Amino acid sequence: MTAARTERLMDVLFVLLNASTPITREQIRQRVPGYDQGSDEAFQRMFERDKDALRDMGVPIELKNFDAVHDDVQGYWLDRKTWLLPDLKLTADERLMITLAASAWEDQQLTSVAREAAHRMGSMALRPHDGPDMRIGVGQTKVAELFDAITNKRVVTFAYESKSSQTVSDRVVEPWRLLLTGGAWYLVGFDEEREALRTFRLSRIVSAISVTNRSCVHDMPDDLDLAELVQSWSEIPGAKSTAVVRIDPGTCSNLRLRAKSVESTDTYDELTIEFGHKGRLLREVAAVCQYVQSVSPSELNADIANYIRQAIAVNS
Amino acid sequence: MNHIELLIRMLPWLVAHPGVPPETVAEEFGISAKEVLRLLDVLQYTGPGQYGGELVDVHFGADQGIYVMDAQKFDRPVRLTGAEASALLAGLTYLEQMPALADSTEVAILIDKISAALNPEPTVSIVTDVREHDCIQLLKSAIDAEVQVEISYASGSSLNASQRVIEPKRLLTRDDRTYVRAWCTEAEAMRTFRVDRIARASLSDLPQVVDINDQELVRDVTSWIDVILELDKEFLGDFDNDTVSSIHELDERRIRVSTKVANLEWLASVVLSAGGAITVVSPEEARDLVVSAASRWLE
Repeated sequence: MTAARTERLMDVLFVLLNASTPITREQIRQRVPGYDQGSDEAFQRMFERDKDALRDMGVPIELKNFDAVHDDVQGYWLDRKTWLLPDLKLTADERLMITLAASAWEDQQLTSVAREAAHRMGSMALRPHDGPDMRIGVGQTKVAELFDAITNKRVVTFAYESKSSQTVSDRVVEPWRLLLTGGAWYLVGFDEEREALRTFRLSRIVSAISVTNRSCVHDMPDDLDLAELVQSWSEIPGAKSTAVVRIDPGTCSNLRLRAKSVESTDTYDELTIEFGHKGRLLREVAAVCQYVQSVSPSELNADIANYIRQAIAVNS
Repeated sequence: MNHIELLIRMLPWLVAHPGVPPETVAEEFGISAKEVLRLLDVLQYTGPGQYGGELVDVHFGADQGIYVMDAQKFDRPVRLTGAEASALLAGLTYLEQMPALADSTEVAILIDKISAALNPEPTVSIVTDVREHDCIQLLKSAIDAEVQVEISYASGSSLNASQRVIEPKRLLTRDDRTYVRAWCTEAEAMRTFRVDRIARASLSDLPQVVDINDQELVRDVTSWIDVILELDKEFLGDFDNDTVSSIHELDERRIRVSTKVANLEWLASVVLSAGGAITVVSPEEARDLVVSAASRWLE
């Protein structure tokens, strides 16, 4: 864009912004220096192009009737109330919080959207050097992809590997919310085939996420409590199971922290551990298996031995 | 972004930051300082008319800062798009939910204010473990009061929890995990501790003795051991994000990763905890450690 055109477009913008009623094309012509030369036709073409260019940049220029009396004359109108933000009367502290909020993303694309948001709120966008060291969406490109789909309420499809069956299936999901908990990212949404709420761990989405142009039809229920949902993951309906793990005395303090009770003898410490998910207990015991003497019940002991053998099989 | 879009963004922002130097504007908007001056030059000649009082009035102060004396009614910023408002809300939700970062009550008030005005679509929810919150508050007060803290720590690089006395310097967060950078009096070095692995913490009466500037807060991993692994993607989280130097996709599920670990015993323990999901490509020594650590179970 030439410097002359930039100046002209800015002039049009300011003329509209300062007008208290809709103004005609002719009135605009009189006030904008770039329009005073050339024929009427040349001016009209130029103005049409300029107006469209401004609209493309998000400036909501409307064509409006002057008033009830002159309903045959139309003028151009830029409504400050629709276009500009109301004054939120933010304090300096609040503007700093916005700066921090905008600078937390790891993803480049989300960062530039968030920075633009901060600028529009009248905040700085770059984190101050003494600001907190934080990062969100670490190593997760899928967060940015889903972010758009949630904002625009678009149905997404992807291939998902279920944890229990280890099988991959194609899912059609109305995305509701990204959930960050326990060091992992999840998508909470409405699974169209299963016709119910489902939670998907992003690391088990094994394909690219494709965003369809279909709109979501189910809203996230107002009473859905995600903290409760997370809580329910660690609680298996029915009773919890109990494992008794004997370890070398004084070892395995990580496992010990989780035990309900500990009994010490000269040759071993006996930990009583309550667990909901067997998978998690397998991981925890396998990690320290060199100090573990035995596990009961015996089926669990066999499961752990099996689990450890799998690790050995791929490393020898 | 063309000059007009930049000017639309920049002018109300300059109004909100009187006296800001051109270099800061350049940094904030990702353009050169020269370009900033050129844009200001355009502004000087623009307005609803051509006479005095009808043009935007921009001045340089004695401090070389930029002052907008008259913005010709363009003194309020443009409304946010849906995506922008959502990104802002998501970032604020992060600040609100992570007790290490900000006063969550103040953030909540701001979120209410913004929600009422912009009605953004919520995109991100964070559920943190409330059991960590007390520990984070304790670490915060230790940083402020510059006193030592005694912790019982279940380290990720050893199998046993240890008692340590640390001098907390700074809290940091990666996703929903909170870490504390602290001087460890036993190791006599800066260490990073994961707050969810601090089993017990108590404030000491003793003042901190080591004065560390921020530069030195960067963890030294030069003595760590280079390893190459092949693993299922979802186990990548077991390794320190900062030390991963390359990730190569093998198929939809498996990746090959070059990273560093503090010691091979720890690596062996992670490999065992992953069942068959992690294979050590190198060093070979680590594979031997995996086998010997499991020897009790292989009879």
